[in-house]
Order: sequence, then structure tokens, then C-alpha cells
Amino acid sequence: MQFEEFVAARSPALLRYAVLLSHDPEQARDLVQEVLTRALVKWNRIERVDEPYAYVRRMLTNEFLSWRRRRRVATVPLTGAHDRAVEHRANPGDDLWSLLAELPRQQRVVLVLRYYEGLTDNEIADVMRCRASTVRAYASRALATLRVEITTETIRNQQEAQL
Amino acid sequence: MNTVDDLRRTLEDQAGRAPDERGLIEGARAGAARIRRRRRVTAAAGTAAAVLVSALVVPFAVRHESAPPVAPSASSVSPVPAGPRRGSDLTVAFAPGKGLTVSAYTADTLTQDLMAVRDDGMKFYLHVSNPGTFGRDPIEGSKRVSVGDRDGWYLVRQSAGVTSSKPETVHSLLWETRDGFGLKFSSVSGQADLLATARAIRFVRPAPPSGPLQLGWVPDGLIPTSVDVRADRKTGSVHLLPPVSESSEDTGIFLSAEPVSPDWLTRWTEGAPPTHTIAGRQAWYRELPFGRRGTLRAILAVTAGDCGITVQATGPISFADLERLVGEATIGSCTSQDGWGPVVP
Repeated sequence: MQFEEFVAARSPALLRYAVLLSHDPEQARDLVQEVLTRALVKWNRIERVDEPYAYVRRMLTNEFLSWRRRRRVATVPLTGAHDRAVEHRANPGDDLWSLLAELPRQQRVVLVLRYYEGLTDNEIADVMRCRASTVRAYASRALATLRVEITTETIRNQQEAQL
Repeated sequence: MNTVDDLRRTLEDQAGRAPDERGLIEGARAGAARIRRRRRVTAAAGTAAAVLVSALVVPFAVRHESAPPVAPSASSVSPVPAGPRRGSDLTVAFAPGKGLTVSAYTADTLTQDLMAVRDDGMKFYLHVSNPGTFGRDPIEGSKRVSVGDRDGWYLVRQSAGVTSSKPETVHSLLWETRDGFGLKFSSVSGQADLLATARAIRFVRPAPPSGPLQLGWVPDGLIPTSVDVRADRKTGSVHLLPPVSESSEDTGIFLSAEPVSPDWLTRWTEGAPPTHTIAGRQAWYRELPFGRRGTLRAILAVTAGDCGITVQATGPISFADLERLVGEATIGSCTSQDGWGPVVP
């Protein structure tokens, strides 16, 4: 697969994933742009792996987890994209989204990968390079913070991850 | 109480906020070209020009189009020793006596960022790009201004998350110095205040910022390429990579110091007992089962007083090197600025 084909097919998904992690469309675009730039530099290697999307998503996850450490100071958006974000943010009744924004980065990554990307805890552990037990610990804390009711589904998810 | 379905619905809804993908391919091509070009240039040659320029203090006389330019202050010029600006060095600062305290520094081989807090609590952000990296195109919605004898842009945006989580009006001044440095100075303080405060910006001799983690030794073949210090959060980090001319992107070390907390211990030790003692400090070392190039290979976590130190290494870097790296480091406090010093030798 050519790099251009990959970007055309997968960049919308990467941007959606990034905006859920960063909670900021402007930063999401920067994250994806940064990761795609580095992916292009070593594309001859990435295109040979079984799942280029999974590989780039892992790059994006790592970039997000280290983003504030490296990128630190907030910047001022220069395009109209942020204006749209402000409008969207003004919508009432989105307490869950606000609570998500307050979660530590690792916990946020776990929830997005589990409940949006549909990964198992073992797959998330592979992405985050930690143990599945750590993933479950992050998820439990995050769900408690979000006041999400623990149901049989969440328990089953944990049991499946332990297999 | 929320349900998992509520959470899924929220994520689905918010995913719709993603920006469109236009321009990503072009941006990636341009960025990749820059990376490849940098690899062809030696680190020393690439930064030598920056040092020559940093010998000069940038004039910050700002006027609107209708006003005459203000002459730069000749007395502000200071000599600067020769030598390249490393990725860990800063060459910008705020003049003393202006009531500005820098609470966050970040620098890498291309950019420098400072966040300063004034005595009245107002925050200011300064972003400096190396020559050749500042966009020259007019910025949509901006007003043309002059900075000394240079053209610049003045911009007002409604933004979120710059100084708080609420939308706010952010004022920015952007310009390129005669020597090609791109500067962006932002605050919510208002146009007149921003312009007046910009006069406090100075180019100074290259030096690393002070932080809680101070390296005493760096493995052969690696150099500091970026540094980040948050005085407000009492954290610091350093990235060590091969010089640009020898760049192998799969080799490098990222060191970070932050206050120890139960969450930190869970994240980095996973409840396991220490595997080593380094310079009298408890340490946890593990090699990760990912042999493929480009993946994390080893993590060393160390507790030092109120600091938690993490060392993430990729590539062929031995435990002995990591042990010496941490063993010869001076570690100050991560709950105050006691014992802080230059983060790299």
C-alpha cells in the first residue's frame, strides 16, 4: 500500500481517534500530522507490517502520551477549525465528555481504545506496552471517575481480557 | 450514574468533531523532506548559524502601520560566546525587572517555548522557531503590523484551553526577525499590554534551563535534543538522541522527573519489588518483549526523594549505561525548586 493510499483511507479514523484523545481538534490535527510525517519517513518499513493502521495508531498513542511533556506550552490556533470547536463545546449536557477531559492521559487512552476502537484489554496492553492488569486498573479508575455503572458487560470484558 | 452505552455514545458523538484530512499528505511530505534534509546536515553546522544570530538582541519596537517604527535599543546588544545551540539550550529570555517569571521552558533543535507569569498572574506564551521554519503566508483574519523594520501579524482568536478550560480571547503577535527566527507571542491580556510586554523579550547566550533532573553523564553517541521543565508542576524531562548526521530514529533515551505519587508507582512499577539499587535509590528495570525496531525496549524507574525518575530507552542501550546515567545524575526536589540546576552538563 502506498503512503498516499493509506492516508486517504485511514486519516479520517486517525483524526477521530486523535480528537477523542486530545479533546481538541487543532491538537488532534497536529498530532496526526506529526505522526504521518514520521510514518512517511519510514514507510518502507511500516507498509511491510501486517497492520499498518495498528502500527500508526500505536505511534499516535505514544505521541499523545508524550505530547504534553514535549510540546508543553499551549499554542494559539491560526485557522477557523478552533472556532468550530468552541461552538461545539458550548453544547449543554455533555458532562461525560467534560469528565473524560479531566482523566489522566493513560486512563483516557484505555477508555477510547476499549469503547471506541473496540480493542480488548490485551490488545490495549500491546498498544500501550504495559500489562493487561495495568490496563484494567486504568479502566477501573477511569470508569469510577466517570461514574459509569459497572455492569455484567464490563465484568465480562475484563474476564475475556484475562484469558 | 452513567452507563457504558452513554460513554460509547459520547465518544461516537465527539469523534465527529475531528477536523478534515485535507492537506495531511502535503504536510507529511514537507515534514518528511525537512527531516531528511536535517539528516544530511551535521548537528554542528545546522546550529552554528543560530549562535551567530543569538549574539544580537532582537529589537521589539512594535508599531501599527500608521505609526513610525521605533529604533532598536543599541544598549541591549550583548556578546555571546561561539558554539552551537543544542536542542536543550535556550537563547530567549525575558528581561529582568519586568515582573515576569518563566514557569515553563521547552526547547528542541528547532523551537523554543517559554511560558511566563507576570506578578499580577497574567500568563504570556512565547514560541520561537529556528530560521527557515516560520510560515511567511499571511494569516487569515490577522492585521498587518510592523515589528521594528519587520512585517508581522497581529491576531485575535476565540480559543479554548490556552490559559484555562473556558473559551477566551487570545491575542497573538507573530513576526520573523531579520535573521529568520519566527516568533509568536500570545496572551489574553489585550493588545496594548501584549505589545508593551513584548519589549521584554531578549535573545541571550545559549544555556539549558534549571530543573530537578540534572544529568552528569550522557552515553557516547547521544546528545540532548530536547528539554522540558515545568517550574509550576516541578517536573523536567530530557530527550537524548544521536546527532542529526548520525540519526537512527530507533535509538534514544527519554528521561523524566516528576513528583512521586501512588499513580506514578502503579504506572511504572506495577506493584513489583525493586529490581536494583542505583546510587542508593530503589530502581525497577524491565526489558519489554518487543524486539522490532522502533519499539520501546527498556524502562528504568527510580525513586529519588520526592522525585520519580523514568528512563525509557530504545535501541541498543545497555542497562550499565542507564545505571550510570541515573547514578551520575543530580536530582533535586520535585515538590519545590530546592536543588535545581542545569538539566544537562
